[in-house]
Amino acid sequence: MATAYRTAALVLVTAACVAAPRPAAAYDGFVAPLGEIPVTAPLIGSARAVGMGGAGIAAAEDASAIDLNPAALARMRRVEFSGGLAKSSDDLSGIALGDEFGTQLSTTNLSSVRFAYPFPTYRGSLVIGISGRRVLGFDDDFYAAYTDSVTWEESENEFLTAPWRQVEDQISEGGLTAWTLAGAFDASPNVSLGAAVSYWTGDFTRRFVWTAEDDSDASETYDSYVRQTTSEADVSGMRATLGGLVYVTEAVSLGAVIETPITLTFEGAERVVERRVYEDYGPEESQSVTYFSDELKLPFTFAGGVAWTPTDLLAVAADVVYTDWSEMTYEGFLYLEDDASGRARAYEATTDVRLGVEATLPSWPLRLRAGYMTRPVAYRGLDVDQDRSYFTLGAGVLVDTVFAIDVAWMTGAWERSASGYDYDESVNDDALLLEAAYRF
Amino acid sequence: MIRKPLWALCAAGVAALLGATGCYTVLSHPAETNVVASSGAYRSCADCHADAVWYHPYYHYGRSHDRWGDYYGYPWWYNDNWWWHPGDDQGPGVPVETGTRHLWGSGGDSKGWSFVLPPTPPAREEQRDTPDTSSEDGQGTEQQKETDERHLWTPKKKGF
Repeated sequence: MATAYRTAALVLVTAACVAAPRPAAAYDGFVAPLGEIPVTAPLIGSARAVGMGGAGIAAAEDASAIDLNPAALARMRRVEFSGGLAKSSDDLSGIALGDEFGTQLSTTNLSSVRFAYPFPTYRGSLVIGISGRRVLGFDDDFYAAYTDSVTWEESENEFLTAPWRQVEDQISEGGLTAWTLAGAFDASPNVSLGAAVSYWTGDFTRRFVWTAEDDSDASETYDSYVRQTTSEADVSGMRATLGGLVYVTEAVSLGAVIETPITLTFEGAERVVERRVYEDYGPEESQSVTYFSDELKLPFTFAGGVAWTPTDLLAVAADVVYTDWSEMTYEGFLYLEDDASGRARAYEATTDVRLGVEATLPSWPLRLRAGYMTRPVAYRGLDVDQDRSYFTLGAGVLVDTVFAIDVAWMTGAWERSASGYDYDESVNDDALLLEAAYRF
Repeated sequence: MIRKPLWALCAAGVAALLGATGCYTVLSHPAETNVVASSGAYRSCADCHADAVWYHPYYHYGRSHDRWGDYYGYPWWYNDNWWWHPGDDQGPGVPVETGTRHLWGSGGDSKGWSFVLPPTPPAREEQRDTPDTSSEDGQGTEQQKETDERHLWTPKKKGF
Protein backbone atom coordinates (compact mmCIF):
# COMPACT_ATOMS: atom_id res chain seq x y z
CA MET A 1 0.00 0.00 0.00
CA ALA A 2 2.86 2.30 0.76
CA THR A 3 4.27 1.50 -2.67
CA ALA A 4 1.04 2.66 -4.12
CA TYR A 5 1.45 5.86 -2.23
CA ARG A 6 4.87 6.34 -3.72
CA THR A 7 3.62 5.96 -7.24
CA ALA A 8 0.49 7.97 -6.73
CA ALA A 9 0.51 11.58 -7.71
CA LEU A 10 0.92 13.75 -4.69
CA VAL A 11 -1.04 16.89 -4.51
CA LEU A 12 -0.13 19.48 -1.99
CA VAL A 13 -2.03 22.65 -1.83
CA THR A 14 -2.40 25.06 0.96
CA ALA A 15 -5.61 25.24 2.79
CA ALA A 16 -6.05 28.83 1.84
CA CYS A 17 -6.74 27.77 -1.70
CA VAL A 18 -9.88 25.97 -0.64
CA ALA A 19 -10.90 28.07 2.29
CA ALA A 20 -13.32 30.94 2.11
CA PRO A 21 -13.35 33.88 2.04
CA ARG A 22 -10.45 34.51 -0.29
CA PRO A 23 -8.34 37.59 0.12
CA ALA A 24 -8.86 40.58 -2.07
CA ALA A 25 -5.31 40.35 -3.28
CA ALA A 26 -3.99 37.56 -5.43
CA TYR A 27 -2.91 34.64 -3.34
CA ASP A 28 -1.53 31.49 -4.83
CA GLY A 29 -0.95 29.80 -1.51
CA PHE A 30 2.44 31.35 -0.94
CA VAL A 31 3.02 34.53 0.95
CA ALA A 32 5.90 35.42 -1.36
CA PRO A 33 4.54 37.58 -4.18
CA LEU A 34 5.68 35.12 -6.81
CA GLY A 35 3.33 36.55 -9.37
CA GLU A 36 4.89 39.99 -9.30
CA ILE A 37 7.08 40.56 -12.34
CA PRO A 38 10.00 42.80 -11.30
CA VAL A 39 10.08 45.05 -14.34
CA THR A 40 7.91 47.98 -13.33
CA ALA A 41 10.59 50.05 -11.60
CA PRO A 42 13.40 50.61 -14.11
CA LEU A 43 16.65 51.87 -12.67
CA ILE A 44 17.78 55.43 -13.17
CA GLY A 45 21.39 55.23 -14.18
CA SER A 46 22.55 58.82 -13.95
CA ALA A 47 24.06 59.99 -10.69
CA ARG A 48 23.27 63.61 -11.50
CA ALA A 49 19.64 62.80 -12.27
CA VAL A 50 19.28 60.59 -9.20
CA GLY A 51 20.64 63.39 -7.06
CA MET A 52 17.92 65.61 -8.49
CA GLY A 53 15.13 63.21 -7.68
CA GLY A 54 15.46 61.37 -10.97
CA ALA A 55 14.63 64.44 -13.02
CA GLY A 56 16.73 64.88 -16.12
CA ILE A 57 14.58 64.83 -19.23
CA ALA A 58 15.00 68.57 -19.75
CA ALA A 59 18.02 69.07 -17.51
CA ALA A 60 20.49 66.48 -18.81
CA GLU A 61 23.65 68.01 -20.21
CA ASP A 62 26.10 65.14 -20.24
CA ALA A 63 26.34 61.66 -21.72
CA SER A 64 23.58 60.40 -19.45
CA ALA A 65 21.25 62.09 -21.91
CA ILE A 66 21.63 58.92 -23.96
CA ASP A 67 19.35 57.23 -21.45
CA LEU A 68 17.34 60.17 -20.10
CA ASN A 69 16.52 62.10 -23.24
CA PRO A 70 18.55 61.56 -26.40
CA ALA A 71 17.72 65.06 -27.62
CA ALA A 72 19.67 66.57 -24.71
CA LEU A 73 22.82 65.10 -26.23
CA ALA A 74 22.78 68.09 -28.55
CA ARG A 75 23.90 70.25 -25.62
CA MET A 76 27.24 68.52 -25.48
CA ARG A 77 30.29 70.33 -26.80
CA ARG A 78 33.01 68.02 -25.58
CA VAL A 79 33.83 64.35 -25.97
CA GLU A 80 32.94 62.46 -22.83
CA PHE A 81 33.73 59.05 -21.48
CA SER A 82 32.05 58.14 -18.22
CA GLY A 83 31.14 55.21 -16.05
CA GLY A 84 29.71 54.44 -12.68
CA LEU A 85 28.90 51.99 -9.95
CA ALA A 86 25.69 51.53 -8.02
CA LYS A 87 25.25 49.94 -4.64
CA SER A 88 21.70 49.15 -3.63
CA SER A 89 20.37 47.86 -0.34
CA ASP A 90 16.93 46.44 0.30
CA ASP A 91 15.62 45.70 3.75
CA LEU A 92 12.43 43.68 3.74
CA SER A 93 10.54 42.95 6.92
CA GLY A 94 7.02 42.08 7.86
CA ILE A 95 4.56 39.55 9.17
CA ALA A 96 3.33 36.50 7.33
CA LEU A 97 0.53 34.49 8.88
CA GLY A 98 1.43 35.75 12.31
CA ASP A 99 5.19 35.15 12.10
CA GLU A 100 7.70 37.91 11.57
CA PHE A 101 10.17 37.72 8.75
CA GLY A 102 12.99 39.87 7.47
CA THR A 103 15.76 39.83 4.92
CA GLN A 104 18.53 42.19 3.90
CA LEU A 105 20.03 42.33 0.47
CA SER A 106 22.94 44.41 -0.76
CA THR A 107 24.36 44.37 -4.26
CA THR A 108 26.95 46.41 -6.14
CA ASN A 109 26.95 46.55 -9.90
CA LEU A 110 28.41 48.48 -12.77
CA SER A 111 25.62 50.95 -13.37
CA SER A 112 26.71 52.55 -16.61
CA VAL A 113 29.45 53.17 -19.11
CA ARG A 114 29.00 55.85 -21.73
CA PHE A 115 30.74 57.59 -24.58
CA ALA A 116 29.53 60.67 -26.41
CA TYR A 117 31.09 62.38 -29.37
CA PRO A 118 30.02 65.82 -30.61
CA PHE A 119 30.87 66.41 -34.23
CA PRO A 120 32.56 69.73 -34.92
CA THR A 121 29.91 72.07 -36.19
CA TYR A 122 29.87 75.63 -37.38
CA ARG A 123 26.24 76.03 -36.40
CA GLY A 124 23.92 73.87 -34.36
CA SER A 125 24.94 70.53 -32.97
CA LEU A 126 25.32 66.88 -33.93
CA VAL A 127 26.23 64.39 -31.23
CA ILE A 128 26.26 60.61 -31.12
CA GLY A 129 26.68 58.41 -28.11
CA ILE A 130 26.77 54.82 -26.99
CA SER A 131 26.11 53.49 -23.57
CA GLY A 132 25.67 50.35 -21.57
CA ARG A 133 23.41 50.86 -18.61
CA ARG A 134 21.85 48.52 -16.11
CA VAL A 135 18.13 49.10 -16.56
CA LEU A 136 16.60 46.35 -14.47
CA GLY A 137 17.77 44.45 -11.45
CA PHE A 138 16.30 41.12 -10.49
CA ASP A 139 18.14 40.75 -7.21
CA ASP A 140 15.72 39.84 -4.47
CA ASP A 141 15.71 37.88 -1.25
CA PHE A 142 12.64 36.61 0.55
CA TYR A 143 12.43 34.26 3.50
CA ALA A 144 9.39 33.58 5.63
CA ALA A 145 8.61 30.82 8.12
CA TYR A 146 5.15 30.26 9.48
CA THR A 147 2.62 27.63 10.43
CA ASP A 148 -0.36 27.26 8.18
CA SER A 149 -2.73 24.65 6.95
CA VAL A 150 -1.68 22.24 4.22
CA THR A 151 -3.88 19.88 2.27
CA TRP A 152 -2.23 16.72 1.03
CA GLU A 153 -3.29 13.41 -0.44
CA GLU A 154 -2.85 10.94 2.37
CA SER A 155 -3.93 8.00 0.27
CA GLU A 156 -5.56 7.64 -3.09
CA ASN A 157 -8.37 10.23 -3.28
CA GLU A 158 -8.12 10.82 0.47
CA PHE A 159 -7.24 14.43 1.18
CA LEU A 160 -6.41 15.69 4.64
CA THR A 161 -5.88 19.18 5.97
CA ALA A 162 -3.80 20.14 8.98
CA PRO A 163 -1.35 22.85 10.05
CA TRP A 164 2.25 22.21 9.02
CA ARG A 165 5.35 24.23 9.64
CA GLN A 166 6.34 25.90 6.36
CA VAL A 167 9.26 27.89 5.02
CA GLU A 168 9.39 29.93 1.84
CA ASP A 169 12.88 30.78 0.66
CA GLN A 170 13.29 32.73 -2.53
CA ILE A 171 16.47 34.19 -4.01
CA SER A 172 16.56 35.79 -7.42
CA GLU A 173 19.53 37.27 -9.21
CA GLY A 174 20.39 38.89 -12.48
CA GLY A 175 19.61 42.02 -14.37
CA LEU A 176 19.36 43.60 -17.75
CA THR A 177 21.80 45.93 -19.43
CA ALA A 178 20.64 48.21 -22.19
CA TRP A 179 23.24 48.80 -24.88
CA THR A 180 22.18 51.98 -26.56
CA LEU A 181 23.17 53.87 -29.67
CA ALA A 182 21.84 57.41 -29.65
CA GLY A 183 22.13 60.57 -31.67
CA ALA A 184 20.88 64.12 -31.50
CA PHE A 185 21.02 67.30 -33.53
CA ASP A 186 19.79 70.86 -33.41
CA ALA A 187 16.86 71.21 -35.77
CA SER A 188 16.68 74.94 -35.11
CA PRO A 189 18.30 77.33 -32.65
CA ASN A 190 15.81 76.35 -29.95
CA VAL A 191 14.78 72.81 -30.90
CA SER A 192 16.85 69.67 -30.50
CA LEU A 193 15.78 66.20 -31.58
CA GLY A 194 17.21 62.85 -30.70
CA ALA A 195 16.68 59.13 -31.04
CA ALA A 196 18.10 56.00 -29.54
CA VAL A 197 17.95 52.29 -30.15
CA SER A 198 18.60 49.96 -27.24
CA TYR A 199 19.36 46.28 -27.15
CA TRP A 200 18.54 44.83 -23.75
CA THR A 201 20.32 41.72 -22.67
CA GLY A 202 20.90 39.91 -19.41
CA ASP A 203 19.92 36.94 -17.35
CA PHE A 204 17.48 35.96 -14.70
CA THR A 205 17.87 33.26 -12.08
CA ARG A 206 15.38 32.42 -9.37
CA ARG A 207 15.40 29.65 -6.82
CA PHE A 208 12.29 29.13 -4.77
CA VAL A 209 12.23 26.50 -2.04
CA TRP A 210 9.08 25.57 -0.21
CA THR A 211 9.49 23.33 2.80
CA ALA A 212 6.56 21.83 4.70
CA GLU A 213 7.10 19.74 7.83
CA ASP A 214 4.48 17.73 9.58
CA ASP A 215 5.59 18.81 13.02
CA SER A 216 2.17 18.02 14.53
CA ASP A 217 2.31 14.48 13.14
CA ALA A 218 -0.99 14.92 11.39
CA SER A 219 0.02 12.58 8.58
CA GLU A 220 0.80 8.92 8.94
CA THR A 221 2.41 8.87 5.54
CA TYR A 222 4.68 11.90 5.30
CA ASP A 223 7.19 13.61 7.52
CA SER A 224 8.00 16.47 5.20
CA TYR A 225 7.86 17.74 1.69
CA VAL A 226 10.33 20.04 -0.11
CA ARG A 227 9.94 21.51 -3.56
CA GLN A 228 12.76 23.48 -5.08
CA THR A 229 12.12 25.32 -8.30
CA THR A 230 15.14 26.79 -10.08
CA SER A 231 14.57 28.92 -13.14
CA GLU A 232 17.35 30.25 -15.32
CA ALA A 233 16.82 32.33 -18.42
CA ASP A 234 18.67 34.51 -20.86
CA VAL A 235 16.81 37.70 -21.57
CA SER A 236 16.90 39.94 -24.61
CA GLY A 237 14.82 42.59 -26.27
CA MET A 238 15.00 45.80 -28.22
CA ARG A 239 13.35 49.17 -27.96
CA ALA A 240 13.58 52.61 -29.53
CA THR A 241 13.42 55.99 -27.84
CA LEU A 242 12.51 59.33 -29.34
CA GLY A 243 13.31 62.58 -27.60
CA GLY A 244 12.77 66.28 -28.09
CA LEU A 245 13.97 69.40 -26.38
CA VAL A 246 12.59 72.91 -26.80
CA TYR A 247 14.11 76.07 -25.40
CA VAL A 248 11.12 78.21 -24.58
CA THR A 249 13.35 80.93 -23.22
CA GLU A 250 16.97 81.05 -22.20
CA ALA A 251 15.86 80.02 -18.72
CA VAL A 252 13.19 77.44 -19.49
CA SER A 253 13.48 74.30 -21.56
CA LEU A 254 10.95 71.54 -22.08
CA GLY A 255 11.70 67.93 -22.89
CA ALA A 256 9.67 64.97 -24.02
CA VAL A 257 10.52 61.30 -24.44
CA ILE A 258 8.63 58.38 -25.92
CA GLU A 259 9.86 54.87 -25.36
CA THR A 260 8.41 52.23 -27.62
CA PRO A 261 7.15 48.90 -26.28
CA ILE A 262 9.76 46.24 -25.83
CA THR A 263 9.28 42.50 -26.00
CA LEU A 264 11.61 40.71 -23.65
CA THR A 265 12.29 37.11 -24.51
CA PHE A 266 13.12 34.84 -21.60
CA GLU A 267 14.71 31.65 -22.90
CA GLY A 268 15.78 29.09 -20.37
CA ALA A 269 14.91 26.11 -18.27
CA GLU A 270 13.01 25.42 -15.10
CA ARG A 271 14.12 22.55 -12.94
CA VAL A 272 11.80 21.24 -10.25
CA VAL A 273 13.13 18.94 -7.56
CA GLU A 274 10.64 17.35 -5.18
CA ARG A 275 11.71 15.56 -2.04
CA ARG A 276 9.18 13.58 -0.05
CA VAL A 277 10.14 12.09 3.25
CA TYR A 278 7.93 9.16 4.14
CA GLU A 279 7.51 8.00 7.68
CA ASP A 280 8.10 4.38 6.72
CA TYR A 281 10.39 4.53 3.75
CA GLY A 282 12.49 7.61 4.22
CA PRO A 283 13.21 10.16 1.50
CA GLU A 284 12.36 9.95 -2.14
CA GLU A 285 13.39 12.51 -4.70
CA SER A 286 12.13 13.26 -8.15
CA GLN A 287 12.88 16.00 -10.58
CA SER A 288 11.80 17.37 -13.89
CA VAL A 289 13.12 19.93 -16.34
CA THR A 290 11.08 22.16 -18.57
CA TYR A 291 12.59 24.32 -21.27
CA PHE A 292 10.73 27.47 -22.09
CA SER A 293 10.73 30.59 -24.17
CA ASP A 294 8.51 33.26 -22.71
CA GLU A 295 7.73 36.66 -24.14
CA LEU A 296 7.04 39.60 -21.88
CA LYS A 297 5.95 42.79 -23.56
CA LEU A 298 6.43 46.10 -21.78
CA PRO A 299 4.20 48.99 -22.87
CA PHE A 300 4.90 52.50 -24.10
CA THR A 301 6.40 55.00 -21.72
CA PHE A 302 5.66 58.70 -22.11
CA ALA A 303 7.70 61.23 -20.22
CA GLY A 304 7.92 64.98 -20.06
CA GLY A 305 10.16 67.34 -18.20
CA VAL A 306 10.94 70.95 -17.59
CA ALA A 307 14.16 72.63 -16.54
CA TRP A 308 14.20 76.12 -15.15
CA THR A 309 17.41 78.02 -14.60
CA PRO A 310 16.43 81.27 -12.89
CA THR A 311 20.10 82.13 -12.52
CA ASP A 312 23.22 80.86 -14.14
CA LEU A 313 24.06 78.86 -11.01
CA LEU A 314 20.71 77.33 -10.10
CA ALA A 315 18.65 74.71 -11.89
CA VAL A 316 15.24 73.35 -11.00
CA ALA A 317 13.95 70.29 -12.83
CA ALA A 318 10.73 68.31 -12.84
CA ASP A 319 9.77 65.18 -14.75
CA VAL A 320 6.58 63.21 -15.15
CA VAL A 321 6.82 59.63 -16.40
CA TYR A 322 3.68 57.74 -17.37
CA THR A 323 3.47 54.04 -18.13
CA ASP A 324 0.27 52.07 -18.42
CA TRP A 325 1.46 48.77 -17.00
CA SER A 326 -1.99 47.26 -17.46
CA GLU A 327 -1.02 46.92 -21.11
CA MET A 328 1.83 44.63 -20.19
CA THR A 329 1.36 41.19 -21.71
CA TYR A 330 2.83 37.89 -20.67
CA GLU A 331 1.18 35.29 -22.85
CA GLY A 332 -1.80 37.61 -22.84
CA PHE A 333 -2.89 40.34 -20.49
CA LEU A 334 -2.27 39.81 -16.80
CA TYR A 335 -5.30 39.53 -14.53
CA LEU A 336 -5.75 39.11 -10.83
CA GLU A 337 -6.47 35.45 -10.32
CA ASP A 338 -8.86 36.00 -7.44
CA ASP A 339 -10.92 38.72 -8.98
CA ALA A 340 -14.56 37.71 -9.25
CA SER A 341 -15.07 39.32 -12.61
CA GLY A 342 -11.84 37.94 -13.95
CA ARG A 343 -11.17 41.23 -15.70
CA ALA A 344 -9.20 43.12 -13.07
CA ARG A 345 -5.74 43.68 -14.39
CA ALA A 346 -2.84 42.67 -12.17
CA TYR A 347 -1.00 45.90 -12.99
CA GLU A 348 -2.15 49.45 -13.27
CA ALA A 349 -0.88 52.63 -14.85
CA THR A 350 1.65 54.62 -12.87
CA THR A 351 2.78 58.22 -13.03
CA ASP A 352 6.15 58.99 -11.53
CA VAL A 353 6.74 62.56 -10.39
CA ARG A 354 10.35 63.62 -10.03
CA LEU A 355 11.49 66.95 -8.64
CA GLY A 356 15.03 68.18 -8.18
CA VAL A 357 17.21 71.19 -7.69
CA GLU A 358 20.89 71.81 -8.34
CA ALA A 359 22.95 74.68 -6.98
CA THR A 360 26.38 75.60 -8.26
CA LEU A 361 28.73 77.20 -5.78
CA PRO A 362 30.09 80.38 -7.36
CA SER A 363 33.70 80.07 -6.33
CA TRP A 364 33.96 76.31 -5.95
CA PRO A 365 33.90 73.55 -8.54
CA LEU A 366 31.04 71.95 -6.67
CA ARG A 367 27.38 71.34 -7.37
CA LEU A 368 24.91 70.28 -4.72
CA ARG A 369 21.66 68.50 -5.50
CA ALA A 370 18.51 67.37 -3.79
CA GLY A 371 15.26 65.87 -4.94
CA TYR A 372 12.11 63.92 -4.32
CA MET A 373 10.57 61.20 -6.42
CA THR A 374 7.37 59.19 -6.32
CA ARG A 375 7.32 55.77 -7.93
CA PRO A 376 3.89 54.22 -7.40
CA VAL A 377 3.75 50.45 -7.18
CA ALA A 378 2.11 49.06 -10.30
CA TYR A 379 1.36 45.56 -9.02
CA ARG A 380 -2.13 45.18 -7.58
CA GLY A 381 -1.68 41.74 -6.11
CA LEU A 382 -1.02 43.30 -2.73
CA ASP A 383 -2.73 46.24 -1.11
CA VAL A 384 -0.46 49.28 -1.07
CA ASP A 385 -0.58 50.92 2.36
CA GLN A 386 2.22 53.41 1.76
CA ASP A 387 3.23 54.04 -1.80
CA ARG A 388 6.80 54.15 -2.94
CA SER A 389 8.70 57.42 -2.80
CA TYR A 390 12.32 58.51 -2.46
CA PHE A 391 14.35 61.38 -1.14
CA THR A 392 17.63 62.00 -2.88
CA LEU A 393 20.84 63.92 -2.36
CA GLY A 394 23.76 64.38 -4.67
CA ALA A 395 26.89 66.30 -5.48
CA GLY A 396 29.16 66.89 -8.42
CA VAL A 397 32.81 67.81 -8.10
CA LEU A 398 35.02 69.05 -10.88
CA VAL A 399 38.35 67.57 -9.87
CA ASP A 400 40.19 69.05 -12.80
CA THR A 401 39.15 70.94 -15.85
CA VAL A 402 38.38 67.67 -17.61
CA PHE A 403 37.50 65.23 -14.84
CA ALA A 404 34.32 65.24 -12.79
CA ILE A 405 32.87 62.97 -10.14
CA ASP A 406 29.19 62.69 -9.33
CA VAL A 407 27.73 60.94 -6.35
CA ALA A 408 24.09 60.43 -5.43
CA TRP A 409 22.19 58.79 -2.64
CA MET A 410 18.54 57.89 -2.56
CA THR A 411 16.40 56.39 0.11
CA GLY A 412 12.82 55.29 -0.08
CA ALA A 413 10.23 53.07 1.49
CA TRP A 414 6.84 51.51 0.91
CA GLU A 415 4.45 49.18 2.66
CA ARG A 416 2.06 46.56 1.40
CA SER A 417 -0.31 44.08 2.94
CA ALA A 418 -2.83 41.36 2.26
CA SER A 419 -5.47 41.07 4.92
CA GLY A 420 -6.64 37.71 3.67
CA TYR A 421 -3.60 35.88 4.98
CA ASP A 422 -2.33 38.28 7.60
CA TYR A 423 0.52 39.55 5.49
CA ASP A 424 2.35 42.85 5.91
CA GLU A 425 5.62 43.89 4.37
CA SER A 426 7.75 46.97 4.73
CA VAL A 427 10.57 47.73 2.33
CA ASN A 428 13.40 50.21 2.80
CA ASP A 429 15.32 50.80 -0.38
CA ASP A 430 18.62 52.68 -0.46
CA ALA A 431 21.00 53.23 -3.33
CA LEU A 432 24.35 54.92 -3.72
CA LEU A 433 25.65 55.88 -7.14
CA LEU A 434 29.16 56.94 -8.01
CA GLU A 435 30.09 58.13 -11.48
CA ALA A 436 33.21 59.58 -13.01
CA ALA A 437 33.41 61.44 -16.29
CA TYR A 438 36.37 62.48 -18.37
CA ARG A 439 35.97 65.11 -21.03
CA PHE A 440 38.46 65.38 -23.83
CA MET B 1 19.33 37.40 -31.19
CA ILE B 2 18.59 40.77 -32.70
CA ARG B 3 15.93 40.76 -35.32
CA LYS B 4 16.73 41.99 -38.79
CA PRO B 5 13.94 44.60 -38.95
CA LEU B 6 15.37 46.20 -35.85
CA TRP B 7 18.77 46.48 -37.45
CA ALA B 8 17.06 48.13 -40.37
CA LEU B 9 15.41 50.49 -37.92
CA CYS B 10 18.82 51.39 -36.52
CA ALA B 11 20.23 52.08 -39.97
CA ALA B 12 17.19 54.16 -40.90
CA GLY B 13 17.50 56.13 -37.70
CA VAL B 14 21.14 56.95 -38.26
CA ALA B 15 20.44 57.94 -41.86
CA ALA B 16 17.56 60.15 -40.78
CA LEU B 17 19.72 61.72 -38.11
CA LEU B 18 22.48 62.61 -40.52
CA GLY B 19 20.06 63.70 -43.21
CA ALA B 20 18.11 65.95 -40.91
CA THR B 21 21.14 67.89 -39.77
CA GLY B 22 21.11 69.90 -42.94
CA CYS B 23 18.08 71.87 -41.87
CA TYR B 24 19.94 73.94 -39.30
CA THR B 25 23.10 72.28 -38.08
CA VAL B 26 26.09 73.02 -40.26
CA LEU B 27 28.88 70.48 -40.24
CA SER B 28 31.16 71.85 -42.96
CA HIS B 29 32.64 75.29 -43.20
CA PRO B 30 30.92 77.64 -45.65
CA ALA B 31 32.73 77.74 -48.96
CA GLU B 32 35.34 80.48 -49.12
CA THR B 33 33.96 81.68 -52.42
CA ASN B 34 30.68 82.42 -50.70
CA VAL B 35 32.42 84.38 -48.00
CA VAL B 36 34.31 86.44 -50.50
CA ALA B 37 31.22 87.00 -52.60
CA SER B 38 29.19 88.16 -49.65
CA SER B 39 31.78 90.61 -48.41
CA GLY B 40 33.17 91.75 -51.66
CA ALA B 41 36.71 91.27 -50.44
CA TYR B 42 38.89 88.69 -48.81
CA ARG B 43 38.08 87.99 -45.17
CA SER B 44 40.31 86.28 -42.70
CA CYS B 45 39.16 83.58 -40.27
CA ALA B 46 39.20 86.05 -37.40
CA ASP B 47 36.69 88.26 -39.18
CA CYS B 48 34.05 85.60 -38.66
CA HIS B 49 35.25 83.64 -35.66
CA ALA B 50 36.92 86.11 -33.35
CA ASP B 51 33.66 87.20 -31.75
CA ALA B 52 31.84 83.91 -32.16
CA VAL B 53 29.90 82.53 -29.20
CA TRP B 54 30.85 78.90 -28.91
CA TYR B 55 28.26 78.09 -26.29
CA HIS B 56 24.74 77.01 -26.99
CA PRO B 57 22.65 79.95 -28.21
CA TYR B 58 19.89 79.24 -25.65
CA TYR B 59 21.25 76.95 -22.98
CA HIS B 60 23.52 79.07 -20.78
CA TYR B 61 23.18 77.28 -17.48
CA GLY B 62 26.48 77.34 -15.62
CA ARG B 63 28.36 78.95 -18.47
CA SER B 64 29.49 81.93 -16.42
CA HIS B 65 31.24 79.67 -13.92
CA ASP B 66 34.94 79.79 -14.66
CA ARG B 67 35.30 76.00 -14.38
CA TRP B 68 31.93 74.37 -15.02
CA GLY B 69 31.42 76.70 -17.94
CA ASP B 70 34.38 75.37 -19.87
CA TYR B 71 33.74 71.80 -18.74
CA TYR B 72 30.28 71.77 -20.22
CA GLY B 73 30.25 74.45 -22.82
CA TYR B 74 33.57 74.94 -24.57
CA PRO B 75 33.72 72.96 -27.81
CA TRP B 76 36.55 70.49 -27.91
CA TRP B 77 37.33 71.29 -31.52
CA TYR B 78 38.32 74.87 -30.67
CA ASN B 79 40.96 73.91 -28.17
CA ASP B 80 43.92 73.70 -30.50
CA ASN B 81 42.70 75.10 -33.74
CA TRP B 82 43.23 78.72 -32.80
CA TRP B 83 46.63 79.85 -31.61
CA TRP B 84 49.00 82.69 -32.17
CA HIS B 85 52.68 83.34 -32.46
CA PRO B 86 54.09 85.25 -29.49
CA GLY B 87 55.30 87.98 -31.79
CA ASP B 88 51.87 88.56 -33.28
CA ASP B 89 50.83 90.86 -30.47
CA GLN B 90 53.77 93.22 -31.09
CA GLY B 91 52.83 93.99 -34.64
CA PRO B 92 54.65 93.23 -37.85
CA GLY B 93 57.32 95.91 -37.49
CA VAL B 94 59.43 94.39 -34.73
CA PRO B 95 62.70 93.11 -36.19
CA VAL B 96 63.94 89.70 -35.22
CA GLU B 97 67.66 89.40 -34.76
CA THR B 98 69.19 86.31 -36.20
CA GLY B 99 72.70 84.96 -36.51
CA THR B 100 73.72 85.75 -32.93
CA ARG B 101 73.72 83.86 -29.67
CA HIS B 102 71.32 85.09 -27.00
CA LEU B 103 70.33 82.49 -24.46
CA TRP B 104 73.51 80.46 -24.34
CA GLY B 105 76.01 82.91 -25.80
CA SER B 106 79.46 83.78 -24.36
CA GLY B 107 78.03 86.81 -22.56
CA GLY B 108 79.30 89.40 -24.96
CA ASP B 109 78.35 90.53 -28.36
CA SER B 110 79.99 89.87 -31.64
CA LYS B 111 82.75 92.29 -30.71
CA GLY B 112 83.69 90.47 -27.54
CA TRP B 113 83.73 91.93 -24.00
CA SER B 114 83.47 95.69 -24.37
CA PHE B 115 81.10 98.52 -23.73
CA VAL B 116 80.53 101.96 -25.09
CA LEU B 117 79.41 105.19 -23.41
CA PRO B 118 75.64 105.44 -23.05
CA PRO B 119 73.85 108.23 -24.86
CA THR B 120 73.94 111.48 -22.93
CA PRO B 121 70.70 111.93 -20.92
CA PRO B 122 68.65 114.89 -22.15
CA ALA B 123 68.24 116.16 -18.58
CA ARG B 124 71.95 116.64 -18.17
CA GLU B 125 72.12 118.55 -21.43
CA GLU B 126 69.38 120.91 -20.20
CA GLN B 127 71.08 121.38 -16.85
CA ARG B 128 74.18 122.50 -18.64
CA ASP B 129 72.18 125.35 -20.18
CA THR B 130 70.77 126.56 -16.85
CA PRO B 131 72.84 128.45 -14.31
CA ASP B 132 73.50 126.48 -11.15
CA THR B 133 75.71 127.10 -8.16
CA SER B 134 76.44 123.47 -7.53
CA SER B 135 79.07 121.74 -9.43
CA GLU B 136 78.04 119.36 -12.24
CA ASP B 137 80.06 116.53 -10.84
CA GLY B 138 78.52 116.86 -7.36
CA GLN B 139 74.92 116.96 -8.57
CA GLY B 140 75.46 114.01 -10.79
CA THR B 141 76.84 111.96 -7.94
CA GLU B 142 73.86 112.85 -5.67
CA GLN B 143 71.29 111.81 -8.25
CA GLN B 144 72.90 108.42 -8.67
CA LYS B 145 72.76 107.81 -4.91
CA GLU B 146 69.05 108.63 -4.71
CA THR B 147 68.22 105.98 -7.24
CA ASP B 148 69.54 103.39 -4.83
CA GLU B 149 67.46 104.52 -1.81
CA ARG B 150 63.86 104.17 -0.64
CA HIS B 151 61.62 107.16 -1.14
CA LEU B 152 57.92 106.57 -0.50
CA TRP B 153 57.99 104.49 2.67
CA THR B 154 61.41 105.45 4.09
CA PRO B 155 61.50 107.54 7.33
CA LYS B 156 63.23 110.81 6.67
CA LYS B 157 64.75 113.25 9.11
CA LYS B 158 63.08 116.60 9.27
CA GLY B 159 65.49 119.40 8.29
CA PHE B 160 67.46 120.77 5.49
